[in-house]
Amino acid sequence: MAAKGDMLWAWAKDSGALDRGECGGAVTALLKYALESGEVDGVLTVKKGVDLYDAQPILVTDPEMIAECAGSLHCGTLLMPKLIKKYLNGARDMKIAVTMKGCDAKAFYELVKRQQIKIENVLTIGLNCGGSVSPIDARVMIEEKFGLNPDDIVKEEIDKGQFIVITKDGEHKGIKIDELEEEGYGRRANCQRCKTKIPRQCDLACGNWGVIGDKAGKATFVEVCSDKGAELVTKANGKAIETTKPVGPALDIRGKVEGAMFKLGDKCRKEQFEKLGEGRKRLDYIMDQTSRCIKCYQCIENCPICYCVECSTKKEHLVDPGDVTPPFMFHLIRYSHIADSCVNCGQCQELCAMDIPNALFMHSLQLEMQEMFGYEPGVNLDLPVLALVEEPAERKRLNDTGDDQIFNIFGQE
Amino acid sequence: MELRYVPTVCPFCGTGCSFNLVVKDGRVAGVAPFQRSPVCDGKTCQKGHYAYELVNSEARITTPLIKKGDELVEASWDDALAVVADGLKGVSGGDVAVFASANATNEDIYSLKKLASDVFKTENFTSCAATGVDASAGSIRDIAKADCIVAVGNIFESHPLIARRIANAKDNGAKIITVDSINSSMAKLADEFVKAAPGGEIEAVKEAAAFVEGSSIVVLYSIGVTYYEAAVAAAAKALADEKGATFCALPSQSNARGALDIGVAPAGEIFGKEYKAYYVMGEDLGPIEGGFVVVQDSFLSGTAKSADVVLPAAVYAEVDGTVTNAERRIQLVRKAQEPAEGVKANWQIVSEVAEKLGGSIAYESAEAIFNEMYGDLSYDALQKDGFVKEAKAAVIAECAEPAAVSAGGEYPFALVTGPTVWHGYGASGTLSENCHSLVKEIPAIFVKVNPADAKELDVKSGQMVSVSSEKGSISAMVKVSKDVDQGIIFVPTMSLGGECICKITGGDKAIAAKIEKEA
Ligand SMILES: Cc1cc2nc3c(=O)[nH]c(=O)nc-3n(C[C@H](O)[C@H](O)[C@H](O)COP(=O)(O)OP(=O)(O)OC[C@H]3O[C@@H](n4cnc5c(N)ncnc54)[C@H](O)[C@@H]3O)c2cc1C
Ligand code: SF4
Ligand code: SF4
Ligand code: SF4
Ligand code: SF4
Repeated sequence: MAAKGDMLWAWAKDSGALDRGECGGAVTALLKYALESGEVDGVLTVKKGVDLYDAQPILVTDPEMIAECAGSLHCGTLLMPKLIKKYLNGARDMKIAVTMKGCDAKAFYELVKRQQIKIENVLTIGLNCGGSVSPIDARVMIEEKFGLNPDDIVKEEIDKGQFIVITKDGEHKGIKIDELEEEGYGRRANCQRCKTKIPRQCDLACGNWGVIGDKAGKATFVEVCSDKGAELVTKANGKAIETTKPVGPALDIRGKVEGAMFKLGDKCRKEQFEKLGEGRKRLDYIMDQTSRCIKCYQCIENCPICYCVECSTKKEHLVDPGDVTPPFMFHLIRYSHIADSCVNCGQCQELCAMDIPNALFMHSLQLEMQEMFGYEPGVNLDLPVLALVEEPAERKRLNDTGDDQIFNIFGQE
Repeated sequence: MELRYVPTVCPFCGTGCSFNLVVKDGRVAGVAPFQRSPVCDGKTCQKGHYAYELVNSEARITTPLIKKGDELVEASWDDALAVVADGLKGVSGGDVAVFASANATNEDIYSLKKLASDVFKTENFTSCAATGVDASAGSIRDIAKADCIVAVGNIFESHPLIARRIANAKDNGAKIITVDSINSSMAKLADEFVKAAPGGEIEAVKEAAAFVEGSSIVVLYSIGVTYYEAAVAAAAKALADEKGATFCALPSQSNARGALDIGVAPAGEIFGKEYKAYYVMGEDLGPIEGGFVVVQDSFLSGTAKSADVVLPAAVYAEVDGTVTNAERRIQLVRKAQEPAEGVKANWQIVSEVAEKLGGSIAYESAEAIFNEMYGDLSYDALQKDGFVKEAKAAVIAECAEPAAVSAGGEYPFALVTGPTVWHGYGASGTLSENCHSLVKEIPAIFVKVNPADAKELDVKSGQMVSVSSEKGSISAMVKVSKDVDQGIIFVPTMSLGGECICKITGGDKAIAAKIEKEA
């Protein structure tokens, strides 16, 4: 019997899944089991597209297909929950299992709170995440920094602080992530700031950290994070997966790695936010960068927090339609509507037609609001700041005091 | 339930961005970024993002139409092809003109060219891409590495994902020099902005030379659709040659490069003349009067409305094929859904028409056409990054220089033209007109007017006015904007809702015009 809070080493019983899996293939085996046993109707996961740099989400309903999706795609900078909302009717009419990195998990919770996804119907298999690299950036890095042909790479992984590639001739080459990132290569800027390393808000959190000794590379470290997760592991144990208790200093090591990642995240935050400047300087920088905006709407269409049917940026009285460059108001609307709940998934930056560091702006705002209001997005089902305001009461306060600020963000009362 | 991604190439501009079409139960349901694109890294402009909306648009035509009296009525493919055969029998050589959309695939354009040469025996085969400017060097990505860039035209709106690379270069410390006739986004990014007087682009390009400095210089020219493209491009090329710069002329349509490679007669020699028969694939030339007109299109374009026969064609999301972008990259357009019932791929329609007329342009598949075009390549070889063709020496046709506009008297404003990011012209216009999110932003052709002029004319943003030149007039929506100086008005190169910039400019880059309030 597995229970919430358990830590396990797990691996697939099926040797095929074990071989193809990134670690112990436990995730593949659990997904297959969930589908076969009817726990879910479909599995939303990721497979290789045109090559290993191209991560394509796919909805699998045939259990035999699951194994084809095994392995981690570190260039998969996707946002899975938005797909559930957009194309799977928020899982309202089918039960699905889905693999999720930390940012996916946080985005998932924010969408659930906004009633865009039916949480009861979703089994969330979290993947620990040290970071992801945009596909073309990865290719450029492999060519320029590794001196290798990106088309010759058969596997890439992030391990022990290194970005490692393996060529078709079996050559391994690793370079320290620190070194790569200092030169502007490596993980996405938002990943460098990210501190959601083990997504414990999922039903299970799976990774390779904490697997040591002769099981290293052959087992998946599974942290059971919910009753639903415990139930799946219990049922699948012995049938689809084998498990054992982590031995030796495994837990300690895992904790240390997570701690080290937090430290690295803090360091990156400090560096990146410092460049952003403070006060007027920061505003000038933001206004200068956003003055390049072409109003492609990618920052809105791909943001997990943007879910409104009637987007304010499309209201004529707020933003004149059809103007390029759009007025600063276009961006202000996004800042004010999203900042409290931004999960730093990076989509608004990675997909910005003009490379405007949108996620950097929003993440910095979010952290400041978190400090002020204590709201941390994406970790549980607590409602965001905006939802804390009782509309009639707030309107009355504004009327009575003549104040026009919904939150008093400038002075403490 | 089925949910899968199919990467494909944007059908709009010559940048050649890609996106994934999201296919749900066999039908295109939306769009998702394709971060693996070697051109755009998953980013697109609004046209690319909303291009999925046209795929299953209500406005699609799905049955052949034939003219009965003044009306187009639905017909079977057999009946429609019989009418085509009848109307085109015995018409050949100089009596026929064949027009290919430069937004169609290489395979479609190539097969249409065969129809022109083998069946109609005509050399009158052209496309809007044939502006006399054939110049492509360097790569889009490398623009970011330049230390000096001369941008001629508002590349922000004509080729947004190329403008991105100019912005990257600026962030890397490059000097940006813009030549444009309005205070466009491209002008606002510039370190040096050389404002062209209306009709004075050539002088402005020459003036810009004084600011050019650096060891890795790129000159970019955004090709429009006027009769003077080659004249301005020649000036830009001369500047590039003088400074030892890489010169790239950016085609406005998604496959204009491909059309040039296949070979199209200079548009200026074919357009505007009268023929006994017109065969039009996917292009909107406005209504054609006189002659027998056959149109292959996915929508009832202006030309289609005036046709004798309209044959319904598949859209980009329903076909396999290739397109070639501004940097000579041949990329795969992939079929995401089966063609709508009753609709066929353009090359298939060509093949059926050829057969009716006693010719033979039969192929198994689009891939078979491609293999005939590029024996040493294959679709398989294009899967990941496409294939980048080697650059050839630039060829720019002889061209009369545009005259400076003398506004005054009855026509007090100098009207200048340029791209808008929201809509295209001709075939691109047909596509954008059928993406409702784009139409929502810009529902009508517009005219930008300086605030002082607007005050004098007593017009407001959003108001419909009539804009006229001595060539004609259009109805347009006012946008009051400081982007234009006093005395200048701007109308984008676009067509929408039957209204087209060409009615007032007739192929000029700039012209004297007036604005009148509509009654
Ligand atoms: C970008 C990324 C970074 C990671 N970084 C770390 C790390 O630093 N430390 C650590 O302990 N673990 C990390 N992991 C998790 C680890 O790589 C394994 O996925 C995990 O240990 C499960 O192993 P497995 O053999 O059981 O998985 P498998 O049986 O191989 O199954 C993996 C599943 O994940 C899906 N998947 C692959 N790529 C993605 C993606 N980009 N987004 C969503 N789903 C995907 C696959 O489709 C498959 O279903 C990372 C995973 C990813 C995707
Ligand atoms: S934001 Fe965090 S969870 Fe998401 S990919 Fe980057 S590092 Fe992983
Ligand atoms: S604002 Fe940007 S980083 Fe934040 S949640 Fe939205 S898309 Fe993600
Ligand atoms: S993604 Fe970038 S360019 Fe597009 S609308 Fe947002 S900020 Fe503007
Ligand atoms: S820049 Fe051009 S190719 Fe790219 S998405 Fe926009 S219209 Fe399409």
